[in-house]
Amino acid sequence: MRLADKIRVAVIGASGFIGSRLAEYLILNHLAEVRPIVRSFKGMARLARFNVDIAIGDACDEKMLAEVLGSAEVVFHCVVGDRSTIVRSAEAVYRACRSAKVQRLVYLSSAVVHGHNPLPGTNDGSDLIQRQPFEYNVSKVRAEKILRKLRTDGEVEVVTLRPMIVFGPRSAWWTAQIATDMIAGRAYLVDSGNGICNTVFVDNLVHAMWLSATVPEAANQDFIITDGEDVSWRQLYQSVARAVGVQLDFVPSITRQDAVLSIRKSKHEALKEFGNALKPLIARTVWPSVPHFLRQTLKSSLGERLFPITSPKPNELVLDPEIVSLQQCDYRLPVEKAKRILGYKPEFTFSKACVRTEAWLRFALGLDKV
Amino acid sequence: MSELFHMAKRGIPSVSVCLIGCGAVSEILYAPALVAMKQKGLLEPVAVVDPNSSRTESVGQKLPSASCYADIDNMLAHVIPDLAIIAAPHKFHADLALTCFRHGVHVLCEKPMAITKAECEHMIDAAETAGCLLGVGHFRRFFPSCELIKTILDRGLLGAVRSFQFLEGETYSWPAQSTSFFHKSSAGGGVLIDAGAHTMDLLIWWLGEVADLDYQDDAMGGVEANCRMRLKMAIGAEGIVQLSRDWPLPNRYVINCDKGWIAYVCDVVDRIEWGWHHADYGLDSRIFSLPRLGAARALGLSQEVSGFMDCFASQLRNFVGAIRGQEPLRVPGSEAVKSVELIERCYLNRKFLAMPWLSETENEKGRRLAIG
Repeated sequence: MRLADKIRVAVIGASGFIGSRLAEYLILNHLAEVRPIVRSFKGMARLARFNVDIAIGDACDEKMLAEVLGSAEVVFHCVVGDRSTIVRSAEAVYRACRSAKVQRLVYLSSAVVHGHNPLPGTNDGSDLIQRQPFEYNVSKVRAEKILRKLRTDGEVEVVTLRPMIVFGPRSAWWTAQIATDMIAGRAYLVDSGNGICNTVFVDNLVHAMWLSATVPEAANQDFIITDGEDVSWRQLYQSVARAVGVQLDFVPSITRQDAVLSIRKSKHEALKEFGNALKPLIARTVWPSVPHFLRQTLKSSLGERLFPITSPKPNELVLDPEIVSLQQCDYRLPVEKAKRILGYKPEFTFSKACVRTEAWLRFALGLDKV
Repeated sequence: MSELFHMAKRGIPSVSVCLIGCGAVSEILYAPALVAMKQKGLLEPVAVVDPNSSRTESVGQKLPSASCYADIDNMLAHVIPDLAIIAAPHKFHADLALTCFRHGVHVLCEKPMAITKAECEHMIDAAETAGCLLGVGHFRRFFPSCELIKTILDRGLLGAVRSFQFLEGETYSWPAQSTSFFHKSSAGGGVLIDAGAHTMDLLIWWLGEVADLDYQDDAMGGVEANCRMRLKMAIGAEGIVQLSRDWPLPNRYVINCDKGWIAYVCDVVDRIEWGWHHADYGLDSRIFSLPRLGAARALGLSQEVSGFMDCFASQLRNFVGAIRGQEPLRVPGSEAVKSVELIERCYLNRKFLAMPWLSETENEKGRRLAIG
């Protein structure tokens, strides 16, 4: 692998949360010649802040992709989508890379290939868990297996990265959604948020992606990527709560036992039972816990596209089986292999990452004053 | 409006219209509105124009009475319509309008009217010289919600305006059919001159002239996806406008007056929210229209106001009425130029938006890229 100053890279899925931050990181840190690839014109809005050549390409269309990859030496696969897209794009991107004579493909997988609550001792080389209750997880396992098989042809080096909970600016799931759920009274914690949250701040992740593109020894290796710290779900939620001015103590907590039951039951039943059980709790706690000034702000200054204007309706509390499952993690994933081979050293501690994330969140919710 | 229909019934010929530019706005908004207007005998689509034949075909299918042309000169060689709707990329607005005026064609131009104030003034002069009408597609002015807010503010029902906060943003989802929105050369800028053209128009329409401004955006060699500004209005009110095509914002414009506050929820045409300061409750008020004449008026009977699409079509009805000399143009070029002037002023005074979620190095590099 060449370690030139400015290698040519293509980012497929460059309009998304991680893809767009990766492109931004590479451009602003002057690391590479970047060609962002997005699925449609509308995906250009965020990237068009830069004077950069953005290409249109369907991640599942091998031929189309091969044409737009141009002379890229490294390709980052950051595509998000449904099960079909996850699986089909893995193969299409690899084959396109092969046609375009790309040297290395950095594939953004997920640590959910080891399950939401990995067994103690799980590491980068552990078997992938094929039988899982969640479609996304199974799709990622299938995509990884496809790439493992394809890479045996020796044409394109593949580096697979497995982050778990990626948070930070523009994270819809693990930053913004928590914030809006909290404001709307929909947020909850399992077991008071004591479960292990294998976080990785998006900037730490993109740094690891860059290392994966340039470190020769990374070829055909798989890496779990986290912040390398003991972080609980409570700590992640605490950071978001601080940004939006909600007291975390009033966010309801459900027991693990109830959480397990909720997953076993049908969604409708679970909704009904837990909604009713939590109704008095939330009515007494969550909404009143929002500071008065913020309540007024929410009522009079924030919009219903993002927030409901009226008080939350307790019986609308929805337990998401994936979130419930993830919050029951007891195992801190190891990051030693990435440190050893990639030279990965998370630049941002969790607390430093939270400062940046909170600053963005206040801006993105319109809570930041000029 | 009813007079227009009576004219149509009396066999007065409909206004012939061409649609220049076959992007998303033409397909999603103008084409259905033109179909409805044709059914009512008010407008007759005669041409669609776009250099991309697949786009003229796509829009032309919705307007079967219209012929397809690759450029305006070609069209004018075959047909000279009464009215041209210009919905091409921003940078072409002025030239296309001038061409239309030279042929005596009235123009309804999509927002922004043009990229610069100078272009707008040129358009206004040319329209006047040619004796043509020039209107601009700030169709939010036709929303009952926006009209009612204007009335409430003008009549001082809540007292003098003290402050305001306009927040509007979405992750960009407009089904753009080209890259024109994402290049400064074709669009003139990013979110401010695009979606923000509506915001700036309402701001000026409701609150009057801007006395002073401090504007920041995040363009780093390209066009901005986020911008925010602090404004001081000539009436003394101060406020903030924040726009994004990067991330969802609350999508509310809140205006604080002496006695209370009033809010416009973006794209909601039939209700407003309002209340008093420091109160525990606010009002979410549904808007009804009141007939101007007859027994229904006498009895105080109300009826539902138009929906979003009908409001969009209202600007076309207004234009037809103006062509026929029955009503004034609601958003003439002389009104729309104000928002272009404000946008131009923002860009001239732009500062790089500090982004504390990026590193100092990244902010510095971004600042350098922004300067060019």
